[in-house]
Amino acid sequence: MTLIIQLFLTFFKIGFIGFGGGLAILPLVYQGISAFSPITQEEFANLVGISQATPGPIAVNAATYVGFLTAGIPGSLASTIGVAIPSFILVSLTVKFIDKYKESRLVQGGFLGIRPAAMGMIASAFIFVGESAAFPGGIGAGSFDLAACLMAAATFALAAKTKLGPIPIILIMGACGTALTVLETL
Amino acid sequence: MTDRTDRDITEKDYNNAASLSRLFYEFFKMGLFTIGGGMAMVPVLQDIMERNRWMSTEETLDCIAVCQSLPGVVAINMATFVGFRKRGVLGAACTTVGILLPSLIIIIIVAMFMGRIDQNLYVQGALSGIRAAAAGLIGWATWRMGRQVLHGKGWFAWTLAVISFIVVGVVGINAVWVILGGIVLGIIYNSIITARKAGDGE
Repeated sequence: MTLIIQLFLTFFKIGFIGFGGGLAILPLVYQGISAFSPITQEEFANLVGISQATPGPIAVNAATYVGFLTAGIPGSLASTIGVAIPSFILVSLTVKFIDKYKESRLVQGGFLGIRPAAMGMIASAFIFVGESAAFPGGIGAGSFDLAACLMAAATFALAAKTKLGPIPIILIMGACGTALTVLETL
Repeated sequence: MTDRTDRDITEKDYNNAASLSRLFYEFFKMGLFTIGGGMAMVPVLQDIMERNRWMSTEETLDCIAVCQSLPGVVAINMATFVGFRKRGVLGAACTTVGILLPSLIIIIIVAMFMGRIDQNLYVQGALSGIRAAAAGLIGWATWRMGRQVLHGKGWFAWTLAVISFIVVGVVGINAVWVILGGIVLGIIYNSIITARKAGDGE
């Protein structure tokens, strides 16, 4: 039982202090968990690999995985709920605040600046995600993936010219990627 | 003039009611079919908001910015934001459970029966396709949302967007600072134009 509570508290804390989510949170997971349950380098490598290769947010996957390794299904529930509660509280309060003061000049002014800034942020996410797709091993490693670039271009074309939503397109490209591997291994 | 009426229609259109089951379903699907979370979810989020007429592009951008600058997992932040905005605490519970559930189920199954699926060659192939799709979709979202939000908005919005892109994308500064900077500049800009309008009125 103490293990379950420790898991919950560890991930609750990570949910409160972890900015940005994703890979940025994984070192916090390692530190937090080693405090009460030994985790080997290999287990951590598994955690990093599996969290990124399965659907869903990386941080949530990591929480569920560590919780399961440490204390089975109750453990995975405790850590997943733990990591989500801070978001739940902080975001609910923020939305409540925004909706209450949305007519105020301060909030309206803030949004006047927030929207273009967010637009620039999304554009830069295109650079980061595009880079990880085109250079799977990192830019310096010299592993340029032409097929990935073509699939990204095809994705853009499908999104722009057809009525397909993002999820069907993701599934199509996942199938294309698998098909390419099958062709390569023939 | 026509610009204003168009805008009024859109704002009204994007205020559709959301049922709790629909909120759960959309975010469950988002958790199930996106890999990586965070920014990879932006195109899917924008699609959900537009298809259901839940939020305008402006509101969706507000949501993304706020969720990126608060602590916690960005994807959970987004789910809670939309759920709470549409249906209060109950709505937030539905969207948040919706986005967590696929991870819980899939990770437990993988940990129990599959081991290192990320080292499987075919999974790696699928992932490279999905990463490419994420890049293409974010590119498309940038183009589409940018056109809606920046078009005809004048020098302030454009300059801010370009600076934010350079600071985050090229220099590599944490996006939180850009969002906070945007808020401050927006407040200053807003008080200047309001003061100027008041001056013109006299």
